[in-house]
Amino acid sequence: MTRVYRSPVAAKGLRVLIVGAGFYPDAATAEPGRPALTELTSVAPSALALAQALLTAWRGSLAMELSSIDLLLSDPGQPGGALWPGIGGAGEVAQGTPVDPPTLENVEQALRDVLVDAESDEGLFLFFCGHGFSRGDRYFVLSDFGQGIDPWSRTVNLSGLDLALRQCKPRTHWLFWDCCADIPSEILDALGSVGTSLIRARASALSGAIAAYGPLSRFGAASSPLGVQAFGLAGKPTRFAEMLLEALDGTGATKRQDGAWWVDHSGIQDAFQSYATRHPDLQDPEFYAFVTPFSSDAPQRMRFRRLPSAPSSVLLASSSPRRGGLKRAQICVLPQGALDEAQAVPGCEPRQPTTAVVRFALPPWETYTVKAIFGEETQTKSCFADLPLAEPAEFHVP
Amino acid sequence: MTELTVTSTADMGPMTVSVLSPRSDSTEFVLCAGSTAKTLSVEPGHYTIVARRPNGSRLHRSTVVGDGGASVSLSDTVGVTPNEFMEREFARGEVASSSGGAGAPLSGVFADALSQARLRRDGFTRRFDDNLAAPSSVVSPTDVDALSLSLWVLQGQAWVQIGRHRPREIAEVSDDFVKFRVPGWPVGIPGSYVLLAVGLIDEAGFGPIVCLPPFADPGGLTFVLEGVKVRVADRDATGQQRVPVALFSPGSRPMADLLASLATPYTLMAASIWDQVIPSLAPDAGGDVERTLAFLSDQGRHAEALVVAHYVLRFLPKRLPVAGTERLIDALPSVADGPIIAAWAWIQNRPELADDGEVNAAVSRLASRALNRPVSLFARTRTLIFEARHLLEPEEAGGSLWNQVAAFRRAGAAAGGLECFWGTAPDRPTFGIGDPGAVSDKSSREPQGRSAQ
Repeated sequence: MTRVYRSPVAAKGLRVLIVGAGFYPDAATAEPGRPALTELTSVAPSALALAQALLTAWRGSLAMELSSIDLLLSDPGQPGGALWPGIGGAGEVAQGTPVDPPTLENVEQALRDVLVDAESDEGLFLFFCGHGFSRGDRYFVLSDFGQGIDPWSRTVNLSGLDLALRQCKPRTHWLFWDCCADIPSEILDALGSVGTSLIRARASALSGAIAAYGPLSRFGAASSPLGVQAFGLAGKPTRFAEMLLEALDGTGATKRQDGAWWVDHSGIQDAFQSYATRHPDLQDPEFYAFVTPFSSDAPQRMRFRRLPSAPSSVLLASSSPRRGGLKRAQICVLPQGALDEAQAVPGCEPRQPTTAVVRFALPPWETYTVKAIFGEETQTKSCFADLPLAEPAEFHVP
Repeated sequence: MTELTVTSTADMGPMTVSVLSPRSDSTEFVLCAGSTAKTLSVEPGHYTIVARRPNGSRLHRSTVVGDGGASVSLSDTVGVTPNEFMEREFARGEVASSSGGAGAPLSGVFADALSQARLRRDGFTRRFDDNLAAPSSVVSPTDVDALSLSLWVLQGQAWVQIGRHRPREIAEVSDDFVKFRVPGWPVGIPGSYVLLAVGLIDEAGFGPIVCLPPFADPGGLTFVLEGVKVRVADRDATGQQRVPVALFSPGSRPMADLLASLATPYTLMAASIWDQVIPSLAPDAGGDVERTLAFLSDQGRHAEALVVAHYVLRFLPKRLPVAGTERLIDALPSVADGPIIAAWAWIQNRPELADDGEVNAAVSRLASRALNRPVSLFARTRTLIFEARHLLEPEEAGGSLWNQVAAFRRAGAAAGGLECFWGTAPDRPTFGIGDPGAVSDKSSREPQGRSAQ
């Protein structure tokens, strides 16, 4: 295992395990009953972007002090072994420290280390990124897939792991599975059980944990498309990671709580679900439309981090019946009831759009007047800047 | 100080309402069938009311509260539906008012699951266009008159088809919807109900099939043709949220509120919904789960009792005692929901004197009973059964019955919280007639994952 960060001050708090499998040296070619696995250049950027955000921008604002980060990574860009790039914070390992790959043995050890001496008031944050598949349950493919007599033994049953973690002491779980859940023909042919859940779940242990450690706050989301494969972007974070990072960075704060804006599990879901809408310039919006929680029944809002300032609400203006009609207009956003463009909200001054859908970022929880001038005709719409998405302004093109 | 009153109607379903003050503070509460008005003491000023529905859609209203107070009716924001037989679903936000916008005419489905499915279906079909012909299962039926409503009843342990009709013969039909009126079953008369399944199937006998719980009050099952068209091209629009193919409106408003909350991936303030809904379902139970279940069971409202138990197990699990679930196990002897709820009640609330061996044995016994029953009534049931498999000994967790549960889950679709899947009969989940490889189609035979980075 590779512990890349241990808090110099906090013995308890949020325990993070990031598992990124992008390089599968033993599965470069297909064999009977076992597919070849392509290299994934999006895995390392995803895993490292998450680690970096935790160690820098988010570190001082997490609801639970960051206690540790364990990282397992295989990267086709570093076939000799991944190295920690170094971010420069206290408690972090030195730049260039070798990072172990996510083999079965390493993942088992890492999970043991993450859980050792954990208390019930601590949190777990797991992010698994790589190849995956479904066979009733959801599975993650480890980087030593292809080794051994049974290649399918080198896979993690994520559904089973999710269940088994509920019998562990930490009662706050953030689980993110960034891998496919399609059904390859080879797995349909595989006989017997497949993979390991890493921890054996037992009814008695589950019930004992609930009785002894209290109720669980658990939020999980997964990328699980059926029949669609292309989720990564070469050399960049995966689309799921992109959405997750955006949500945790601030879009997931949709409610002021105790005088502050908190990213919480409810807001993260809102952020996921509105992502494709809030980004109308996406080339392939269908690939951003698959995320919903597999677990979201926390007894109350699960807070992840506090924002230093209010998040922005995204307001989209468009036209009908012709979608491109706004390109002939001057459009701006004004405080509610104002009509003079000189009063436009900063950043939302009059402009002639070049796209069919115009995107404005606005201070939240205010009502605004959106003004569009089509030659001699002026139209206004009143829109409330809800979070993360404002009421839309749709103009009728004269 | 003055007063601001926010009102809804019982038909609008459960809503989490936020009242945003001029200082950007917010007050949250629930409006549902059990409580359709809330009055707050507020300072005069401009307020915005945001009501979040179970499907994630939101209603917005603004008002200026003067010294004399103000009242805001959320029902004013609802508008008028073009399909008069869909008024109830429309009021609940399950159906949009116009055909404009992505996802219409079903913009109310959670998180726009249908429009997302359509987006991905289009991309999926495009990829086939670029390569070879799409599998037949991707090609969608568009003409409702080419479909049939097929009815099955459970006789003993087997499903028997009792009719196959053109939709217009037995249902209300529009361009977008096929609405089948579901009968209510008299309570208090043992054996007075039948277990019924309804499918909207194509000429080859394939389509979405919904199992209907025997509620005491009549209800409405509405197939959504846009969802039906998506077919096997994309059953999973979003994570575990299946592509919606039908909506279900129980006749009882409180029951509809609980079921709507159960059918959505996340529900805020579930405890408040419970507190407001339960007095009208079980007036003398005082909100106690065990007494509520006993009251409903004594009345013969077994399907209603299962909804209540599912709700509590999911949102308020500490309130579901093992003893309260015992009478659910055999109330509907062919139905898997009761025993699997009881199994999970053992995990959530193990009896104080029970040792580990007893807990493991009880869960194993109850999961096995659920597994051997031919009917699941609610969408959560097969997930609960399949998850329980991890808790059993390896020799118990194998076998063809588990594969069958997995097949049902793979073929699953969404129908407002009811059990629903694609197939040819209530006991035959499949992926398409004449196209047995549909689920492992061309694209998914490639190495799984991100091969097309």
